[in-house]
Amino acid sequence: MSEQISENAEDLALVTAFVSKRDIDALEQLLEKHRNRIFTHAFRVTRNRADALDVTQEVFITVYKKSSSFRGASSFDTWLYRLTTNACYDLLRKRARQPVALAELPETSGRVDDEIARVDDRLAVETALASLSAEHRAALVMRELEAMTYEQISEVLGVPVGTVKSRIARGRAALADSVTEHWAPTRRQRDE
Amino acid sequence: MHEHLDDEALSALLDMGSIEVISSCPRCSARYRAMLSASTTLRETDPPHMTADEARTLRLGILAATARRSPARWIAAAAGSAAILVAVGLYVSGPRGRNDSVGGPSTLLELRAIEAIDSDSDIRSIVEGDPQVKASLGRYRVSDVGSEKDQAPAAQAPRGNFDGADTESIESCTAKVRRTQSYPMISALARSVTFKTQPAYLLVYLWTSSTQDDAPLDRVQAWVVSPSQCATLTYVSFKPR
Repeated sequence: MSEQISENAEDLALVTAFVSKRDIDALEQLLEKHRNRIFTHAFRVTRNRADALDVTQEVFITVYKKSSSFRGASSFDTWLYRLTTNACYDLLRKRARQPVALAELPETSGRVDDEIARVDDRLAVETALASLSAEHRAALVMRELEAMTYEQISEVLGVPVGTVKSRIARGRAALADSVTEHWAPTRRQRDE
Repeated sequence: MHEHLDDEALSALLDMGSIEVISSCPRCSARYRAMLSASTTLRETDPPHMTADEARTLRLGILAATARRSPARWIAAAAGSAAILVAVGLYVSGPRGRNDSVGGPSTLLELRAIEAIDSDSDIRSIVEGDPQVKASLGRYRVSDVGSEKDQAPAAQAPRGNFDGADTESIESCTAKVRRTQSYPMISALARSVTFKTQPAYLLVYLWTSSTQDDAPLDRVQAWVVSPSQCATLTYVSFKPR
């Protein structure tokens, strides 16, 4: 707890230095510390690199404008996650579109057949993830990819823990469906 | 009668990493394994990393959006605006202005043509309202960059160089800014403007972060630079409506 308070104090000192004194070094430190996490989270929710960059910029601008509204009731990280998730929702709502499936898969190595099967699996899961609503996707991403607890996710999203559990379960079920559907024809092809 | 577990119960078991309790039920067990497999596959995807260019774009964007004006600067800007408008009017009318009737409609038209930029939203308005940019959006692809097609309309006919001992031409600034970027992008607009009442160039490029050949250049990066050494005054990046 004391570590969190000291982290909060350090981050707030940097924000204050940038806001009140236009201290560019403070901005650099804030960016260095938080930009990748924000960008990654935004990318996972929006499924689009350029959108993730826009969201990251929006979050830092909001921090600049609304730093005085941060009271330290939650951690600075939680606040950033909340701002990021809300900025993603806003952006997706404005665009009124579903995000596209991720096209940027990591390079593969090893046996070609296995790798193709693995890439196919990933694409199926990515497509299922992209088809979820932003609310379900955000909850699932925080749990599965960012290893956050249900309580932390609840705090970020501002919804009860029960709702978080339900959203994550529904997200997992959709992903499981995609994997099951993907396996069935593949198995049939292998059997033939 | 045996009751199967629903997805929420299976999801809770997944969090606990416990399959023993359902190993006796093939249906629950299969559903659990599908959930586990999807979860494992999802975790295998590498997190995206921000590139150096993106980090730079982010930094510039934040600095531009958070640039403030003190009251003293507002007063100075307001006081100076009339003089600047006169100067701009003289600049834009040029020889043609002298051929037209003095103070006539053509001068007003030209004054309207040299836009005043005070904020990032002004840049967005200019870019989104420009038919040239509109026509170019989505027309060019990564494969066009550097090719013959990469002669975007504005780059062929940039408008309005400022004169002065230490000023650079709009063509030179267009090329200079472009050289600083490693992304595929082409010039879509180059125009003289005023930025917070000072003479400046608005340089607009179409780009994409994708490197795939058929990816359309559907986003905009816009710089407002000083004619003196093409120094960046502000910068925005966005996807036009």
